[in-house]
Amino acid sequence: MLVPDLIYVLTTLVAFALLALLVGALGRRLDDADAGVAPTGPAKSHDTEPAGR
Amino acid sequence: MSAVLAAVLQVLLLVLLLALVVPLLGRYLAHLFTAPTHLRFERATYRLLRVDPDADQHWRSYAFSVLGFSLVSVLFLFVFGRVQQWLPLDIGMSALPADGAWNTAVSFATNTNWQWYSGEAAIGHLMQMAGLAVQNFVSAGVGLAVAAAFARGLARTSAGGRVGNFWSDLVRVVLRLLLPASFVAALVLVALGVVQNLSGPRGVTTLDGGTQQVTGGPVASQEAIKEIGTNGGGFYNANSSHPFENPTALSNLLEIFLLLVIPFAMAWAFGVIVRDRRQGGAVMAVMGSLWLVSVGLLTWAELAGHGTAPSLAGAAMEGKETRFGEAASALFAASTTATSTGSVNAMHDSLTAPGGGVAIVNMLLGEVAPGGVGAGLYGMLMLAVVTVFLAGLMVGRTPEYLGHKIGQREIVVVALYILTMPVLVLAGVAIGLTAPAGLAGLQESGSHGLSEALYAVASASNNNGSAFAGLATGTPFWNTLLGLCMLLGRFVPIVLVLALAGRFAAQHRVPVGAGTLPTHRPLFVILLSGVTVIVVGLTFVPVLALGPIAESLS
Repeated sequence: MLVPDLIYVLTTLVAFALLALLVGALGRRLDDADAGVAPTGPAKSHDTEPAGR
Repeated sequence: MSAVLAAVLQVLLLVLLLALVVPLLGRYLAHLFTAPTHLRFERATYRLLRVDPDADQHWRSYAFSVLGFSLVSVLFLFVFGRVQQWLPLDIGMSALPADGAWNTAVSFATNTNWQWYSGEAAIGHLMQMAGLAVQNFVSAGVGLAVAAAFARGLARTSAGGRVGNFWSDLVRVVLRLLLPASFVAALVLVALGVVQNLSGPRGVTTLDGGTQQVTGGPVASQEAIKEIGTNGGGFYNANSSHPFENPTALSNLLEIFLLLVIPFAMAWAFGVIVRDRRQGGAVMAVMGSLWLVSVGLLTWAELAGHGTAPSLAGAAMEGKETRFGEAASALFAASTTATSTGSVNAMHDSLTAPGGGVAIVNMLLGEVAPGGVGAGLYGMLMLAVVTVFLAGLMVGRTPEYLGHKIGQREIVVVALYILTMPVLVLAGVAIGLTAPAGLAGLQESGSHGLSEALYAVASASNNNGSAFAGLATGTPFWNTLLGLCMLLGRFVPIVLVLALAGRFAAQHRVPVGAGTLPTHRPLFVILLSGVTVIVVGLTFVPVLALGPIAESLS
């Protein structure tokens, strides 16, 4: 009786732990890159050029 | 009155009601998510929870709050299901099996409300009221809170990735919106004939002398939040086709209205929060157009049902309540699958093949037309980001949305969001139809059997919760598989949405220039509608061809 309960509780904990790791991984990838965000100002000319030019 | 005329009139009446209420409710929702002051009973709740409602959380902190709260919800409900036989008001119900208790816990904490059991034969009154109904409120609140955080992320610039306070959003939406709205709706439903009592099973003698067990209970209070929160879990197995849940044509129309009103109002609220109502109007136009197309197609499919029996009956009446007829059933089916609600007033397995296909496609679009409470808005906004990016690639426009640049990292997050649901659905169906334990639950063969499995996994992965039936899912295999689909289908997208919200909130504003794509004009509405159907819908063409399309042609 207790073994299936334990399995499902552990499944839940592992699933949420993995989700927490996803938050951490995204945080490292996105938050560290803030410096690369375009500064205030008009769009650069190459941003408005058609692809391939 | 002809069936077609009746179908058109009820849709017009519904649209009129929504047009009257959505702007008012949208403004109220925007106020709710942006007002700086807390009410007295809210402050008491914050003290009880030991949280600071004025702390402007970074998106990671917001995400951890969502995950922590939901983890506790799942574990609490799991334990509730395992010990309900020892609690008051158990009305003779025994403990749920471990796999069933876990599936139910995940289902209600993720706003899915998939039910592998018959409510009146498995769940005691205390678990209905203190377990499932509570999750109906707070899981809807979580979805609305995440959507509000995303709207704030788009409205803010240079905010260091801060997107608001989860606890404040959750408490406000539950106490100021869901509870009072559900209370009023429950009273109206009682007035229309929905039952509300604490009665247990009662033996009655039928007109032809047979005996039947009839269970009463707190139905109206559950019914109101079931629709308002786009939850969908019925008190009875027959859900809204049961006369105790949905007794008249008027209660039927009210229930459809309730399940549509907040998702549409959130689009309006979005426009107010980003201080450009035209943006909310554009999002709402896409949601409304897709919903109307789906209602039209499903109604046509059911009214024009081919075959001997439908021809004799005048329409495909199998599995439908004669109290409502095929048009009201089609409207309900289209609305419940397009809003991630999952309540039903007819047997979806009995929909015609093209009608069932429309219901499946509604879910596979990602529940964005208009989608679940909160989830519909953030799903549509993610597609809007894709649309801006694709339009930029096609015509050389600068990819930016509401003053936020869509760069490589932003589009990677959106791509992960777009891919999550198809991976869950296609991998889930593949596992379900190859594992012996999965095949054991399949009661139909051929294309209809595939449709049944596809419907179940799509319903779980998109947090819809309605069932096609015909698939015996109350087994450890299906309970576990669908539970994982519900869990990952809910929280992986939420984490990605919050990450993108934080990313936007950290950016500097990009001023509108000649290269900026206007995102409030009809052209953008058409583009976004096309992207929603093409990018998301076409992912599933092969499996749809083998399921409902093959069945339609056979």
